[in-house]
Amino acid sequence: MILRCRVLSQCFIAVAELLVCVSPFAVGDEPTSIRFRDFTQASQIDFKHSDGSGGNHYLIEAIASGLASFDYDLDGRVDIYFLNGAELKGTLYATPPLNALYRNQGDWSFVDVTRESGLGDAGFGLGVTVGDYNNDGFGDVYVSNYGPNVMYQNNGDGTFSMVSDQPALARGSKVGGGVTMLDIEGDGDLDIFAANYIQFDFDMRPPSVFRNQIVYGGPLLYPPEAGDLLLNQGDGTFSNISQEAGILADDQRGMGTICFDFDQDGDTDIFVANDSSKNTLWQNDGRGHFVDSAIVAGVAYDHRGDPKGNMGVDVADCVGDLKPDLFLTAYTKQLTTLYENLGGGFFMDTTLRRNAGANTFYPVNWGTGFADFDNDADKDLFIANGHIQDNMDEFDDTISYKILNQVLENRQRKKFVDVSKNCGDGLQIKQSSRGIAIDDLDGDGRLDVIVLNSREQPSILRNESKSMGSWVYLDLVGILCNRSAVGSRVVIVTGSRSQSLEVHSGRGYQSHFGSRLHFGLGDAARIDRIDIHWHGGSTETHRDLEVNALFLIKQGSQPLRNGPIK
Amino acid sequence: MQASRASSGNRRVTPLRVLLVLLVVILASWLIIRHENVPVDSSEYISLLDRPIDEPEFAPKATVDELLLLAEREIQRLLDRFPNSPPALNVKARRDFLLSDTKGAEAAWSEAVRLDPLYAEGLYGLALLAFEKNRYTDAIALCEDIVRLSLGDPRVVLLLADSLLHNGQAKEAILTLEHHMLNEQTTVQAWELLGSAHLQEQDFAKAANCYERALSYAPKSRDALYGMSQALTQLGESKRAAEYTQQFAGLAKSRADESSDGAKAFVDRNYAAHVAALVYFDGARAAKQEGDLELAQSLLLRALRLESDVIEWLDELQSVLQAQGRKLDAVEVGRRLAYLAPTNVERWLNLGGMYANLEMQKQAIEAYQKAVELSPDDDRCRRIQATLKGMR
Repeated sequence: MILRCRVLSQCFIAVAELLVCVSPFAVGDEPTSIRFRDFTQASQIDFKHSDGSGGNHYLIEAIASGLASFDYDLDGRVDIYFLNGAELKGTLYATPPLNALYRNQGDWSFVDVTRESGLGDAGFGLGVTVGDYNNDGFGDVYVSNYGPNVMYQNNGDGTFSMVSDQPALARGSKVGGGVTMLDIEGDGDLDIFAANYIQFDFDMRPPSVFRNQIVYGGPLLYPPEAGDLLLNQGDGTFSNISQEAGILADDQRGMGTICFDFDQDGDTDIFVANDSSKNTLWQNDGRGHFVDSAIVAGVAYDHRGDPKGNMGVDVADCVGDLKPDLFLTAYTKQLTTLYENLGGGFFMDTTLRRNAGANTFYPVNWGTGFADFDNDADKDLFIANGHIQDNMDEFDDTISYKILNQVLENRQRKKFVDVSKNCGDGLQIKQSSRGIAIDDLDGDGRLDVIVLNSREQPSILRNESKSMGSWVYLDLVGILCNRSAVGSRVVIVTGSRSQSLEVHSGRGYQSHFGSRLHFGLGDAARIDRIDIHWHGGSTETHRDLEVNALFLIKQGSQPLRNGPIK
Repeated sequence: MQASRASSGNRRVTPLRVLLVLLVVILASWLIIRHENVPVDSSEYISLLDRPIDEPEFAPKATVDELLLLAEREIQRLLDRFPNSPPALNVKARRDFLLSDTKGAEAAWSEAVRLDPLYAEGLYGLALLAFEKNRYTDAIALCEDIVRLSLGDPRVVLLLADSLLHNGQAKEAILTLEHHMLNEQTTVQAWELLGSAHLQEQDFAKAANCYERALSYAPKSRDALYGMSQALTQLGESKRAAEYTQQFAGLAKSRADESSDGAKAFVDRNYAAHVAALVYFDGARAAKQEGDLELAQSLLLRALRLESDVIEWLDELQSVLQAQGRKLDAVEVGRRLAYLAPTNVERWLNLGGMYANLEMQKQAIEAYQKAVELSPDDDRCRRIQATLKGMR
């Protein structure tokens, strides 16, 4: 803070001296009770990410990868699935990189079950989502690759089988982006939207050079690739309906995706965060036809009408009006963006008013997620940072390849504050992070964070926040709607406070997390009411529930206390 | 008789003498002009902008490293020539900023401000850095200090208002912009920013008014078209909103295509040349501020050799040449400016004025005639038209 001086010249000198000693990228140091401890070593997770790089600087290296957190074996504990790169032209690994699944043993240790699970996909992994596409009660895994996409069907016994007989699922050989599952037309089974990034070939362009250094050329050097919409035909097969559904009407460079009911008309819409081009908001007419409403809805560009290099996206009500707001991460020299839902299908970029872009101008940000880290009944934000240029330090002092991640704490649903510096050693890790997943790994009611770091080991951050409020977890199981309850919305009422969340399949930066809904409840001692708007139309209300518990709620049944999670 | 003869002889000789004297005067004038400059239409005349630059190390085809070294040398030369000069330090700061060496830029601007606490460029640079680093309170304080200097620089008010907006002080941003618009020259950007501030405050009617004003100045302002569509949507005027949205979408598409083409056309060497050229331009402005017009002119020519036809630089060169009294060279630059902006009436009026000052009537008439053709209703052109009729 500058001390304002009456004497002009003294003030100028004071200002000048003050400014010299400040480093270009600095995270915020506002006080907070949110704490993350670096539990990477204790977790025994030995996964190391590979991006396929070998000095050629193919752009696809720089955008890898996402990850998923989900309970694959239904033992009540959230497990972790990391995507990995693969050999690219000009690289050769002694041991080819594979995606990896780690089973949560419940004591902050994880065991590598990649081999026995069959989830060790060898493709160049970019995006992933989880959803029960065949409604058998177990989450299936859909992986978006550079190359053919792959569906892994969960066999329910700890193993997965690659669904290899369906060309529609592979959707050709493209550079994938985020993937999501949604029930397009409300028929009770999950369909798939797969974003695609760019049209790419190793020999398409010569290497980009900047200041005599070979660098990653930007996405604008490549033609965009339209997304794919895959319709679940109810018999375990999929058909590509992109053309007839209208998805091909607009092609951009898709990255993070999320499906949610933005206009609250009962059907699920698709939002795509696009890189260096306008975002897309595919508005569902409920019958499987989509129209891009991003410009009209106010989410295509930032408040000045500029496109951004958007990467990750998440949705939650962060201002307390029960309407889902959108948060997007972006490239360097751009702020992250908060689009506040004004109702009626319209949004407004309120980044500046809500300070939702605090200290995000210099870093490239990727993974993100709304989460109530301190259980004070509002949604905070986690932002994963890291530049794409691995030689950044040689020509730019504003930012580095490996930098700190950030936590923006939501203060009273009015304003975000960058509290990263005071969040403990978990926020002191400098890496080039990409996807993140947020889930409770130890069942203590506090949301932990898993960060996929490009070319390195992931970071496992244990939430050790003090002064916590109460909380509740809800595991929804659809009976009439899709079994994963994707697209269902919950409103929870404690005293005068209401909160809402929707079940998503696929979010953040090309990742999946949060299938189990988490609500921080502040000082509430009881839950007055839970309204569940199941996807497809039915609504159920449950009253007077305990706090600090996990409830399993099957559609049409009473909540079943299913805990403690440990 | 003798007197009579003498008188008669004098009468015969006088016209010859007069003629001779006239010839001598004309020749002398020609020589003087020739010495100072060369005639515009002479086939021997080599344009000032095309004359070779007599400096061994200046090589327009230099590599990236050579160009950046060239820029560095020039900065060092300036700092040596003008020690303790804030404008010279500003040259270094701007180069560093351009090359993302923000520490270097901050140090240079801070030093400039230490030397001259009222050096506005230095304060502005520091404000810009503070803005980028999310230190909006600092940026606001610095901008307010510059505003107090009453230099009327619209950039500063815009940065101040934008910093206030980023700091969540939309109301203060609105007051700042409104105050500026009452007292200073209004810009399209100011209206756009004011519209944006009203949007942040969700005062959609006022936002629409501001964007409407911006569009009256610049009908193709993307900011204003987008803001207008947003404001009208919220006001429930969906039909009008759709019209603006359509216009905006068209422009946004063109811009996206341009960005893509620009990215594909990026050449590393050209970027380095741009940096070096900017150093020469900034150096020229510094030299001019320090009173060294010869150096300023020389640096501007170098800048233009690396990146030709930059209007702002040609304007600066013309101004330096006029200050040097090199009128014919200034005319040459004026011609270039008119050629680059053939529909800009100001350029032709300016050129006509310069020709008239040189008593180059034919060229002056031609230039003025162009201005009249472009803007026959302009008062200045009407007056000129009347004068031209008289001249003919």
